[in-house]
Amino acid sequence: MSSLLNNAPPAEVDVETEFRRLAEWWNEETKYLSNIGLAVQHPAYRAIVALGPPVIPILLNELATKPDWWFDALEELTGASPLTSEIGGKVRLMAAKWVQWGRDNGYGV
Amino acid sequence: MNILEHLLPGLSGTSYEITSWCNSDYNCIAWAVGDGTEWWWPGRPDKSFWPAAVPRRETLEAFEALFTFLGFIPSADDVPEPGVEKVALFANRHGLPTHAARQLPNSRWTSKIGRAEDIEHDLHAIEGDLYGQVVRLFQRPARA
Repeated sequence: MSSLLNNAPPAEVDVETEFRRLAEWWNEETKYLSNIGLAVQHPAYRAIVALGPPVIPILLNELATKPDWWFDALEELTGASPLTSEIGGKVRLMAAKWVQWGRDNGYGV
Repeated sequence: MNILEHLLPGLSGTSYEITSWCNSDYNCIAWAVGDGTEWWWPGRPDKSFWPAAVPRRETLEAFEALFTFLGFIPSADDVPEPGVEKVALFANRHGLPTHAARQLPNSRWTSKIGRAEDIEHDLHAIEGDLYGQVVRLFQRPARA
């Protein structure tokens, strides 16, 4: 895996652009893993979490349009845990649950 | 060299095929046992599916228990047999499960590659740093 330093963003990049860059890096290096616990430890995923609250609506919109494993990031960023064991593993239902959480909490998703 | 062959170099020069689009709905364990709708892993129950009767641990023993729970028994080899469904479990050098593949009637194997595509491949072509080696083979009667 590349080091975070080698993938440092250029100065003054907006959050959306930076998210896209990091998401592409994360996908490229982890999309072959079934163990999501490992994938979310990747430096790109950690850097997405480090973008802080401004990335929350971007992650929610991603889940609304192209569900992927942004659940851990959202949980860390919001402190919320809207998922339940009844839908564990059903990725589209998990995404829908987070999108609903976003709407309920004032995010325009 | 594409990224798939970069991470699974044993595929290079073999006649593997990509047989689906990328999809995050299900993973290799689900696909190996015939489920194309859920993400099976012994992680947190609100994020991944795992039968309640099977220990929710990332160990070889827990994965063996999973296949036993689903009606599989250990298989002596990867030779295709009519009416028999075989799966292969992969583990890394630390003995931690990483991947599973399912044998097709044509004797080749099908794998869901993480959050990416399904591929049809030779069994041992995906061994290497990413998935480790085949450590267990299981079989059960093929379903109609």
